[in-house]
Amino acid sequence: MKNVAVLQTITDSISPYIGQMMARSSVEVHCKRLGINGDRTVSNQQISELLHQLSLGLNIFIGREKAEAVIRDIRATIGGKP
Amino acid sequence: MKRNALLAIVFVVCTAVALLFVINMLRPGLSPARNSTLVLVGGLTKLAALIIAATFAFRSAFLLGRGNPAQRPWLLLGSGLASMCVGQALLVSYQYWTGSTPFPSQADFWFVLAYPLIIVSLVAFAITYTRSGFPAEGLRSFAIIILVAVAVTAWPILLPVAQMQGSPLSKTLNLTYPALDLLLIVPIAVLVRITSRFRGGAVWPIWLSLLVGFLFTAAGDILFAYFTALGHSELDPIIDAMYIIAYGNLAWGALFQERLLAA
Repeated sequence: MKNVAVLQTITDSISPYIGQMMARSSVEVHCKRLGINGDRTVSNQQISELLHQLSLGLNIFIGREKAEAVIRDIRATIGGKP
Repeated sequence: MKRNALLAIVFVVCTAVALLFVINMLRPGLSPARNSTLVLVGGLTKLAALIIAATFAFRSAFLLGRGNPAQRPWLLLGSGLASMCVGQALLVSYQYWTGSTPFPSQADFWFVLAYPLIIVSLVAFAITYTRSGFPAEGLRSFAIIILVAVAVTAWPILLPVAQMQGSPLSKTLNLTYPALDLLLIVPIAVLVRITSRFRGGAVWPIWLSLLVGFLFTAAGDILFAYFTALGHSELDPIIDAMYIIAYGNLAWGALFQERLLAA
């Protein structure tokens, strides 16, 4: 999967909980903080950190277990590789 | 009982009873219930909605688990709603035994006590959500603008109530409720701004319902103070309808959150 596709997968996976607008903008904000550019190569570590940050945010709305399940599904979809 | 059924029941019952109050005021002959019966039915509907709201707010706090930053705000909200339950239960018991709704009464202690708990809970929600890592820029200045706007509008709203005739206690309470409601509007406005970005997500209906509930409560309190000050008790059914819609929405919000966590 290309980086853009990975970021889109992440956005699509969290949208049902926090809405598309917030999902897109939160992925963008975290990517900016982590120096992730959709057009360039992104490391597994960066993606892991991005998913960790999103999980912390989701945790307060949907609980830890569900947030972890969402992140697990995302990892399974992107195959653990960016 | 399944949550979806409970959501539907809360909606149908609260809407039907609120409509009965409106019909009773506009066309007294059309309403199937006598006034005192309707007041009691309305009181029981409010009590049931508040019990559901408090129960599911506490359930949400429990399901979020210890260590979750959102647990404390949900506990505070549940405590505020539980305090309102006690106040409403006292009111219903007065309505049942005496057929009237006394004001002021012991119930007001519990309603007033609910405000600091709810205000602190909403502030805690706003702080927790802004620290969650989701985009939330410009909220501090927005909160200050709303606070200033509320302070400016407080004077014309509270002045007529302050000039009303009545016992010192009823006058104090008629000032306290709208003043606390105006204060409540600040965290509500901040939360509206935060949560409006969640449109389309499962989180959105939780906050839409809770915020509509608090706005209707605030509007009901302010109108009650005004109508009391102006001596328009014939408009009381409108206030009852507003509280029923308010508490129904609070029940919905807590139910939506608990359903999201428990699913």
